[in-house]
Amino acid sequence: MELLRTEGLTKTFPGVVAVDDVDFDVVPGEIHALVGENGAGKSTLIKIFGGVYQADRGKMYFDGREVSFSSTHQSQASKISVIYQEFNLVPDLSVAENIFIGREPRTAGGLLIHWGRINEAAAGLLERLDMKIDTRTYVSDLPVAERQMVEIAKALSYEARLIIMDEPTATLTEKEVVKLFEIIAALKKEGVAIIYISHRLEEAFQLSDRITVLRDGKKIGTKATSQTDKDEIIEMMVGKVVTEYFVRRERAEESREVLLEVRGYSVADHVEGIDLKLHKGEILALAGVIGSGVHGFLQSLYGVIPKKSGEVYFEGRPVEIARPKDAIRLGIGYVTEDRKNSGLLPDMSTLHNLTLIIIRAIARLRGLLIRDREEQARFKDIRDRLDIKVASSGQKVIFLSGGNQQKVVIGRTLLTDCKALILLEPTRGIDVGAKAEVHRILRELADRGMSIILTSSELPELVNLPDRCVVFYKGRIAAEFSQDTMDTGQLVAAQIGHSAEKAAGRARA
Amino acid sequence: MREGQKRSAGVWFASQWESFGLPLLLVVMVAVFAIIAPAFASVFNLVMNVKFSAIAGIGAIGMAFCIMSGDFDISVGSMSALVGVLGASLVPVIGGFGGVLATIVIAAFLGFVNGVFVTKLRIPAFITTLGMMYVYRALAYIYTNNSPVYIQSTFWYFIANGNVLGVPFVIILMLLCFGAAVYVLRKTPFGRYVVAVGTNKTAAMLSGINVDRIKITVFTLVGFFVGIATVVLASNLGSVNPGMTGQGYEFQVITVVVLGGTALGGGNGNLLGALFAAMIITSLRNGLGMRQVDSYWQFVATGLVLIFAVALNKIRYSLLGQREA
Amino acid sequence: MIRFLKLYERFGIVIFIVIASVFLAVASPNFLKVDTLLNIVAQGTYAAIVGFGMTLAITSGGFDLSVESVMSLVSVSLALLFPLIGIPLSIPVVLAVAASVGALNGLIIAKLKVSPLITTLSIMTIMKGVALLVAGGRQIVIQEKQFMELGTGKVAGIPIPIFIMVFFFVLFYMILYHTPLGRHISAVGSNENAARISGVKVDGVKIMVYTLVALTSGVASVIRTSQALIGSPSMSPGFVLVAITVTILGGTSLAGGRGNLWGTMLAAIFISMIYYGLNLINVQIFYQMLSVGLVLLVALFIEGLRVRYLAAAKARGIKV
Repeated sequence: MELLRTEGLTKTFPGVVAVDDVDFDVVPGEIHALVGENGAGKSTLIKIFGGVYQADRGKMYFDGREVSFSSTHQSQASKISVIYQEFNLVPDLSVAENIFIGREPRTAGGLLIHWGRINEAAAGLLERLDMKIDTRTYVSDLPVAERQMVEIAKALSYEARLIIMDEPTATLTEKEVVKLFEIIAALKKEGVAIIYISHRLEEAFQLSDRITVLRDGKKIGTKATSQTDKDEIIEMMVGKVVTEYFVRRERAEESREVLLEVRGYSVADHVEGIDLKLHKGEILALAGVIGSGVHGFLQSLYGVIPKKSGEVYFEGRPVEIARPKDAIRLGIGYVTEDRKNSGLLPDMSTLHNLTLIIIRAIARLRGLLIRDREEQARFKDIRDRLDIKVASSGQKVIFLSGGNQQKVVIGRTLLTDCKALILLEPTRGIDVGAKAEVHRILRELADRGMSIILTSSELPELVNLPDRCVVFYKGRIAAEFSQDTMDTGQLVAAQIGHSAEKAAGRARA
Repeated sequence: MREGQKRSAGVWFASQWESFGLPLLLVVMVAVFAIIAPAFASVFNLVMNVKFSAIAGIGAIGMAFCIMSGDFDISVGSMSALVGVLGASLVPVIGGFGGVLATIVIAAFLGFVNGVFVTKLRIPAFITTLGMMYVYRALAYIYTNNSPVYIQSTFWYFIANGNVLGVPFVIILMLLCFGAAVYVLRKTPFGRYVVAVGTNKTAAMLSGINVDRIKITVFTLVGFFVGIATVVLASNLGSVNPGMTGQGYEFQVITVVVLGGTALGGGNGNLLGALFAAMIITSLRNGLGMRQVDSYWQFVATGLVLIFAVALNKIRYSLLGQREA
Repeated sequence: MIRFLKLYERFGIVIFIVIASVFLAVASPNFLKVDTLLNIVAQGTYAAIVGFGMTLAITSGGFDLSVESVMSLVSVSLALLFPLIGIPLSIPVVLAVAASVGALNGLIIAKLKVSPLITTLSIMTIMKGVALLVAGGRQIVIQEKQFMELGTGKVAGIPIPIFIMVFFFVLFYMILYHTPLGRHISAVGSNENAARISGVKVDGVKIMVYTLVALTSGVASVIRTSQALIGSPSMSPGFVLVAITVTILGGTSLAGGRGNLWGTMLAAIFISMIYYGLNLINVQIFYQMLSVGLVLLVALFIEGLRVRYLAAAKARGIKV
């Protein structure tokens, strides 16, 4: 009898179908791995299980009864616990307090907390996980691995019958991962079912009884782990690479001139000793999963976060980029992956958003007078070039569609006539048509000599758009693919740590 | 259907408020007071109202920039007292014009100091300015030994009491200040940067804006306009009092800005609205005073007005689907 | 260095007290007498008591600027109620009044979601007006002389206010560290979202916090009023600065989640030592205001340096 079962579960957000008609089930005492590329729908699916989202269509059954969770509390009441990547712990409270927050055992007529009982109970839970953490320690003093244990203990305290873990090993060391697996095995013995999301296939194969693959919101298939292998799973994850919209780039001429180079570049908590070159007119993609350090690397390159060590050369000269302004002055543009929170200025008009970076430059009277006509001209220029659909220049940018918003963010950097453009997840959260348009724009820019460095978690994008793709894994460069050596299977494998030699070996074969 | 109708009526109302709400409120208030206290409606009194509103109004300009950039400065009242006594005491030495200039320059400098502390200490502005508020006030007391400073200067006197071509100078001054402020806000890159910083600090930073420098400039502006407002106030009273001057001024000014329609969370601001709001607040106090209402009710009224103004803004913004404070 | 900076948060105030003690001991032979020391502590009791409340507020991630006006309101209410219902009844009544003002603050902040700054600033103005209205704009002399006992009396040679302070210290210590409410207060200040998702009634917690702050203001006002024997509608101007200063100086983090009641109490005594020192050199009372403001700025400055040093160390890869 399945513990949790879904039939035709569907969830749509504006512009994208996150979960598409998914039939899924978990049986008690099972470890069920959920794999798929970023954007495949894993996060959304578990958020529906956790009561954060509600499905638009389809049914969900728990213990045979139909359910629908309209709040996280309802999900918890059904003994489902979700451990998200960013834990839901209170840093300034102790381990025991976090576990029992809101349900603290009391004494003295219900007024005071019974420390003996709460610590004992907490210790007991941790013991089941074979962990010896002093339950009086503040969570803020715990390393990430132990915080995770606290989350698991919390789930146990709710007598969870289903625990969902989202990328639990992303920030753990090898030893800590081993420990986590022991605990998961112990949980399984107690009859707890676990849904385990991870990019690391070897973990899925080590732990799980079954593996379900999602792609583009759809369930591609569920296999018993013992009856499949990594190649098959990878093939299911990758599928037939969509080629109708994404045409492989035809490079007219190879420019070997180096625009940007880093040597021995390290950023604390992100990357270590990176050597990388970016050529003129080249589109370079950096690929990597959570914990690979790609985002941190690019943020540091643009001056958002400080670097620990390393040298940067721009057009042959050594440069120091300590703040975004330094990068802008060199001619480097930047498009964040999170346009809502750090890219756009939501309440301001499309016009203002577009012209923000250059407004000083185009103002007259030494920066004292903005000429409307100048501004409007620039606006029209970019609007036409990028085909941004907007009612008027004054329309507030939050009212535009995702794709058009992204064009605004890109357009803003284009107005600065930059030589290099850094883009983090350039087509995240926009529909396929808009994605193709963005790719067309980027290609045109590269053809005209601009260098582009981007990151993406979308396989078709990584395969078709760039001239080169460098894969990061755990803070270092793991593999490099040119257009000729590009192979989707190896690309995915390299991202998840599948041995580099194997990938290289296959390439040679 | 009713709910939908109600909602769309609300949305219409909310969008219209921006353009017509405050002037309308002002007219209504004047009419009400005119009825219950006929003396209110005399030309003399109405003109006095406008003249008085310059004090809160001009100070509100600087505060509006501050709030637009996402910060608060609650030291403005004490700042007013300090720069007032300093400037006034310098009159015998450097003359009326010199005193006025000194007041404004010192105020701008103090604003600059505030700005440096806020950006370099990385502590929320309100706590930093809370500390400065008491430091300034204490300095004002100490400097004057807790006695008022009287101003003997025709120039200074002229500012609040003189007329130019029949129009009170102070009104011209207020309009000039507002005009300049609106120009800076709409027509200079700096104005854009201020709004950008208040809307989304990260995006502004990523676009190469030096957020710290903008904030320091904004705080300096706060000081600058406080200086001008203090000059007007001192001109009205003929003296500056280290204890009385500026008491509750920060509250007044914040109320004016909020009532004027500027969101507390930062971002675009409504300077024209602040102008009307200043007149509304001043008329309210004046009208209540005319009816022999205990002046203490003014405290209650002003406090309620701020809460009302914030609530109004919140409702408006949520109806229009925008970010609110 | 890193260890020192981390410990500073809990024990930094002790350094201040030690330095101040050394200065004062050198400056005045009277300082080290028991009577003097007790007096200094007694002078710090009101700041401490309101500080306890403010500590809770800042721990929950907010703050309360209306404490002065609550004190004024309580003061005049006492003066007016004594002739009507006598001393023993008046005290609970005014404390209830104070608590309701606090609850009002909490309601507006929690339910209407108005920021603590605006809310408490508005309430402060409104209550200031109410206090002035109730008192008719004047200070009311209290005829019931026996009330003075509370603020100036001694038991076993120790001034009564000290007992009251200790009582509230113990009470608030128990609340903050040993009751679910207190832990939830820390939780809300530390990570409001996680707290809410985990089932903490965030709104209720906030309302309780502001009620408690106002309550402490009321208690402090009772003590003060007892000493001055005057119901004053403009009591203790500048007191909110003192309350916030002792809280921050005592080591409570502005970020919320980590309240330091010991530190608050010690910081209140420290401020009292500063006043004593200023008295020694016979300066005007305004120097008190100035010094508290400067102390706050210095405390903030140190805190800012500390935070940035630790962050920079983290960026360089050093374990923090």
